[in-house]
Amino acid sequence: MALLEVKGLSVIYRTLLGVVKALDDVSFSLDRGESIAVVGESGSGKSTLALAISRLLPPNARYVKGDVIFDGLNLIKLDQGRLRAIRGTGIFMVFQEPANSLNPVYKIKDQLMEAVRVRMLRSEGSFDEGRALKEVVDALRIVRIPDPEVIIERYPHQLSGGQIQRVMIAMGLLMRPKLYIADEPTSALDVTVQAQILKLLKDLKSEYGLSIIFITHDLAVASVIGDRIMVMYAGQIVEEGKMENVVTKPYHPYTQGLLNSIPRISKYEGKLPMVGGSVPSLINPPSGCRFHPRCPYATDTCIKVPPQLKVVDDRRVRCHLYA
Amino acid sequence: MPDVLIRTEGLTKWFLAKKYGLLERLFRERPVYVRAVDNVNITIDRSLTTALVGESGSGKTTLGRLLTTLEKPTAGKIIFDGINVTSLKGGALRRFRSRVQMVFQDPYSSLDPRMKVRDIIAEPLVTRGVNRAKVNEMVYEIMDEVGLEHSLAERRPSDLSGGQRQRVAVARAIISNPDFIVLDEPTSALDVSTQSQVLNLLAELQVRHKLTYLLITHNIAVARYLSDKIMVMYMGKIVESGETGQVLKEPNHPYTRALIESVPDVGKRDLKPPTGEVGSLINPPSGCRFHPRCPFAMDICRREEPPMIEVKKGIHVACWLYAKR
Repeated sequence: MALLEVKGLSVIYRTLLGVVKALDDVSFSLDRGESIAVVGESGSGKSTLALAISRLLPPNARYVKGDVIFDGLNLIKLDQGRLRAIRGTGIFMVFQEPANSLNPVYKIKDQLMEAVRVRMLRSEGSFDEGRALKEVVDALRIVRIPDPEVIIERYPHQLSGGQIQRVMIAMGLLMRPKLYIADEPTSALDVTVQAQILKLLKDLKSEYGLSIIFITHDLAVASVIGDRIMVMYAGQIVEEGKMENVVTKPYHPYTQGLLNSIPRISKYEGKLPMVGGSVPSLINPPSGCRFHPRCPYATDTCIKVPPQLKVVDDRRVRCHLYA
Repeated sequence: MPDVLIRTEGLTKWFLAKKYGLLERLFRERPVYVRAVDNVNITIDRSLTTALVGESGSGKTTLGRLLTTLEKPTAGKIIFDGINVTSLKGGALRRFRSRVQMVFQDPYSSLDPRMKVRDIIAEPLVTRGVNRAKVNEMVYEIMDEVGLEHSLAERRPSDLSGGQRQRVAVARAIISNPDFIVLDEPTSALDVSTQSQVLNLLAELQVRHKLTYLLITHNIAVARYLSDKIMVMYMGKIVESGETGQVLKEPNHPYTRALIESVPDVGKRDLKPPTGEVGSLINPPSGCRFHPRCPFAMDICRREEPPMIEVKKGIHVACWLYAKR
C-alpha cells in the first residue's frame, strides 16, 4: 500500500482580488522509500501542495474537495489533536527560508533535544537525556556540521543559512519521519552546500527508507533527487512519470520548454530557447488548456476544451496532442 | 591580442569586523579585519563578458563594487581604459562613474518603490543635466529595446513582475551609454522561464552597444551561457581564470573541479561536492586557502600561498600542483 495518496485535491485562497484556484484536482501517490520531485515556476501551486498535504495552509485557504490519505488516515478529516501526533514523526517539513524555522530564543541543543524527546515519548513512552544528547551530536555530524559540540550551544542567529538548513535536516533525522517534505530547501544555498544536502537526502532514503516529496523550480535538481518527477503548471499536474523518462523524452510542451530554457553546464547552444509569456493569473485561469496562451502547438481545441490528465505510454500527461 | 578595458593591481579590500573606535585605540587593541578581497590581479577584456563565480562570502560582490567605485579599495590599483581610477576625485570621478553601471540581484529592492518607471530609467540622464524632451525620447527608445511596453512608463515598480523589474534595471543601466556594466546575479531572483528571457536580452544588448560585462553569479550554468571568460573566486582570491568553455570542460584547480561537480544537471545522478565548509575570512587558513578542503593538499600548500601559474595559453591557476619544481 502506498504511504501517501492524494486524491482529487483542490484548494482555493480567498483574497481581496478574488478567489485563487491554487490547486485543481491533484492526484498522485507515493510509496515507502520513494522520492518524487515536484517541479514548477512560482504560482504553479507546488508550495500550496506541500502545505495542503501537511495541513499547514494559511487561514484564507480552503479545501474544496479531495482526500489526503497518509498511512491509512485521511488527514483532511483529522482533528488538530490527532494531527499533532503525526507531525514530526509522521510528516516532517523543511521550508525554503530556514531562518524562520528555528526559534530564535532557544539554543540549537534545546530545539534538537525537544525533537528527540517527542520521538522517544511517542515510540517508547520515556525520555533518556544522555542517549538523546548523543543522538543529537551524531545527527549533526551526519549532516556535516563541523564541531557539533560547539554548535549546539549556539543560537540560530549565530549560524549561517547553510548551517541552519543542515540543522533542520538533522532535526528531520532525529524525528525519523515516514514522509519528508522539503519545499525548495536548497534554493537559497550555494551549489556546493546544495550538493552536500542532496547527497545526504539520497543516502537517508536508501538507508532508512524515507519517502521524500521534494519541491523545486529547478529541473536539474529534480532529476538528481527524484525517482519520479511531477511537473505542475497553474495549479494542475501537466506531466508525471519516472524521472529518466520525463527528462530524456518530455511529452508536455511545457516540460519541453522548461527543459530547453535552463542554461546547462554540459552543453552550449548559443541562444537559449525560451517559454514566452508568463504564468497566468489563477483568479481567472485561461479557458481550455491553461498552458495554451504560451504553447507553440496550441489549436482551437486547446482554447476551448480543458485537457484531462491521461495515462500515455509510461506516464501521465495533460495535453490534447496525445489524445 | 585582446583589448583590455580594466586591469587591477594587487586590489585589496579589508572590512573592519568589529568597531575600532577611540576606546579600542586607547586600550591598544588590534583591529580585526575581514579580508573580503585580497591582492587580486585581474584583466577584463573590452566588449566581452567575464564571469566571476564563487560561493557566497567569496568576495565576488565586493570585487564588483570596487570596480564600479562603490567601495574604496584598502590597497591596490584599478586601471580603467588607461586611467588610474583609484586616484580620481571630484568631477573626474563623477565623469568616470557615468561610464560604469551596475545591475543588482534583487529587482524588488534595487528600484525605488515611490518612483515611476519612467523616472527610474531616466535618472542617470537627469543627474547629468540632459534636457527633458531629449530624456523622454530616449526613455521610450530604451523601453523598446529592453522589451517594456510604453504603457508601463507611468507605473511604479510594485505593479511590475520580477522579469519586468529586472528589465527596468537593465534599461537604467544602459541609458547613459556606459562602457562597463557589472551584473550582480542578474537572474537569480527570477523564475526559469523569465531567467532565459533576461539572459537573451543581456546578450543582445551587449552586441548592439559593444558593452563589457562583468557577470557575478553563483550559477555556473548561467556563466557558461553568457560569458566568454571566467574567473573562479575562493575566499577573496582568484584561483583560476581563462576562457569559459575551456575552464569548465577541463578545470585545473581542485576547487574549480569540486564546484563544477556540485552543479546539478539533467541526467547527472551523482554530485561530488567538496567536503567541509568555507573557512573564516578573519583568520584565513595559512598558505593556500583551499588546503583544509583539498584532497590533494601537500605540505607546501599549508605553508606558502600558491602563485598564479599559466598552465595553458590564457589559463591561469593558483595551485601548487602546477608549480614546476
